[in-house]
Amino acid sequence: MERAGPSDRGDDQTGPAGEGFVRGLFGAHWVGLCRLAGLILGDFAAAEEVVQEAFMKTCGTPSAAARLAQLDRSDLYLRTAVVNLCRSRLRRRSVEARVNAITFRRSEADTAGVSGRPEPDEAKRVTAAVRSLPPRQRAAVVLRYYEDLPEADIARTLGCSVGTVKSQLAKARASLARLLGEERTTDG
Amino acid sequence: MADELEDRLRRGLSAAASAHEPALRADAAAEAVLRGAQAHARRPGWDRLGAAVRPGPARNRLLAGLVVTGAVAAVAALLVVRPSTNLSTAARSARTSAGAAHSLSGSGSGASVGGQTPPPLVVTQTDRGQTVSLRVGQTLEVRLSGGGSQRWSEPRSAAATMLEETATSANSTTGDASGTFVARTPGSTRVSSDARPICPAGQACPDFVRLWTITVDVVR
Repeated sequence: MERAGPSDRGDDQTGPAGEGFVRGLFGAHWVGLCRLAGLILGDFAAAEEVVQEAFMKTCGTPSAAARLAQLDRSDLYLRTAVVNLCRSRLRRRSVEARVNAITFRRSEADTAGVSGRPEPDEAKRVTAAVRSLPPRQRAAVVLRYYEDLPEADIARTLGCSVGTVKSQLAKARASLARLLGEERTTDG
Repeated sequence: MADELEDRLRRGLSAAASAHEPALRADAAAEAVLRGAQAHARRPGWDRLGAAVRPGPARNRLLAGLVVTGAVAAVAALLVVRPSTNLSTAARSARTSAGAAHSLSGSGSGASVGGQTPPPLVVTQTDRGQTVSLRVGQTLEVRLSGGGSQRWSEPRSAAATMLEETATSANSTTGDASGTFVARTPGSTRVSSDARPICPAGQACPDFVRLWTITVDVVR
């Protein structure tokens, strides 16, 4: 994700919600946050909704926008909001998937929306494997290997300890190695 | 082996992400959020309330919540008390006389008390939302004044057999409307009308509809 610079803070605080500031945030982070949410959710259409919701929550009112503008790193705050909303949605979706599996004999993989250009095969395999992880592991993996965040920042974003991040990443790597290794064995 | 997996994850996630562009452009998405923010800000008192409640510590938020709850309760109490205090003078006196007549006449004595018909009950637009009582045979007069700025429609009874319309009119120039109704059978019904703005030609005009309804209880 692009890092927020001083220009993100926006000089125009005169509008009802510091319009210049909000537009600046969108310009700098909209695409990056949509991609981040898309990777965590495994659904790039739903990702846009989540990112919009995060923007609404963090700067959807004049007072909230003013508070966000006072932060040194508003991008971190926004990213945390996006990741938390993604995890909430994943938890909700896992409940729906369980109900669907019982009611319609359909799995989450069947219901996850895919949009945009077709992904390359390797990317498709990797994202499918990441999609099979539990929500917190999924978020940790995307933050670590897509956003390239250090473990301390991931812990701050997920609201847990660094130790938890390490263990989540270790479990995720083990699962992914097994899944991707099995595929390679099957392909080969 | 671990490095290979990590490289694979980095390349795979990056390729998957770059294959997707958001369908909505950043400026359009920002516009949608800002429109939402402005809609919030336009709510009367919302922004002031948000500023008072949100940034302070939990204690302040609780106190602000209590103040707001108290204010809402006070307004609700005023609205509950309003029917008896805000009824127009004519309606109040007529209602009192109707009630007195009812208590004097007893059941099944018909439309008159001691041979006299109860006086007409007059209601105006200030009696909106009220409940009035009529005796069978008593007349209800509705007088709605447009004041040249709004045009009332002819008042209508929801149950014409219970509360019969004897005359209704509406003046499109002044906006005034009136109606006379006679209570025929016991029961409860509503009389309603609506006002729309009288818009001068070539000027910007608010588009609103103001509803006016009263409940009429007819007793023997």
